[in-house]
Amino acid sequence: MKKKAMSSHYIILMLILQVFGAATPVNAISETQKNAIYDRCEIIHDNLRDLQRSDSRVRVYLGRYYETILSKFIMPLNVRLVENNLPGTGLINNQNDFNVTRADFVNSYIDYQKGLEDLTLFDCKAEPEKFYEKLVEVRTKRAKVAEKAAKLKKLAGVQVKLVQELEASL
Amino acid sequence: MTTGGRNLTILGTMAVVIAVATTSVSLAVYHNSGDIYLDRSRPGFLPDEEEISEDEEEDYEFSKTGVITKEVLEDYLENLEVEVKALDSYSDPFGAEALSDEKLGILEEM
Repeated sequence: MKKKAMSSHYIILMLILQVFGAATPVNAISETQKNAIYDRCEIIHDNLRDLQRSDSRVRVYLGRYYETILSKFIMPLNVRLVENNLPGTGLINNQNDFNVTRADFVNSYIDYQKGLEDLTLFDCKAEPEKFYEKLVEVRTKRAKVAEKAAKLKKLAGVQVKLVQELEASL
Repeated sequence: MTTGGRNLTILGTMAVVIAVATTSVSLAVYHNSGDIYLDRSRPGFLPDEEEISEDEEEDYEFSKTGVITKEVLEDYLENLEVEVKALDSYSDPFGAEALSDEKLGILEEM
């Protein structure tokens, strides 16, 4: 009986430890990292500014391709399908998905760039820990942009596949 | 100062105040809407010289009218695949690597 009570106490203790363990900051940085941020603050800021510029270039190029695919391929084909009374539910759904994801891409890009700009203006010498926290947040925002870009690439591939199927059905 | 001169000064001051106020509002909207992050004409974000191409390539656009045949779709696919390939050339856009500790030089010493 005593043994059973002890084991249940042990389980409760483990659960408490786990809860507190989860509550400790995941992104806590070591003393070495803190020093590295402090020492390399200017270089980190320069790197972030370079990244801002190169991201801006990539965004423009990708944006151009998305716009071309949507306005010169996806939309005109759907209009023409309707005019020809041909079934194209999949293609119309793909147009909607592409449109929505493109808007999401732009919004997540703006959100990411705002975060990145805040980071370039943040005094990493004064608060290296806070800087790292913000960096982790910006990484999450960047991951969202990457996710939307990957989805748009996939949807462009879906368009090719659907048109191939339509071609085969004619 | 004559009355006319004073009025002219007031008018000038008011014009400057209104101009500063409206410009400030425009800049605030430009910044808060996020348009600033999409604009590459701002200083420091202008396209590099090598980016400005002068190729006069004919732009393909699928016509919204006409009959849909196998040949039409073949032509469509041929042109669409060019754009898809261009997209594919960006293997990992906005990848995590660019913001990694390693890239920024904040790695822990081993």
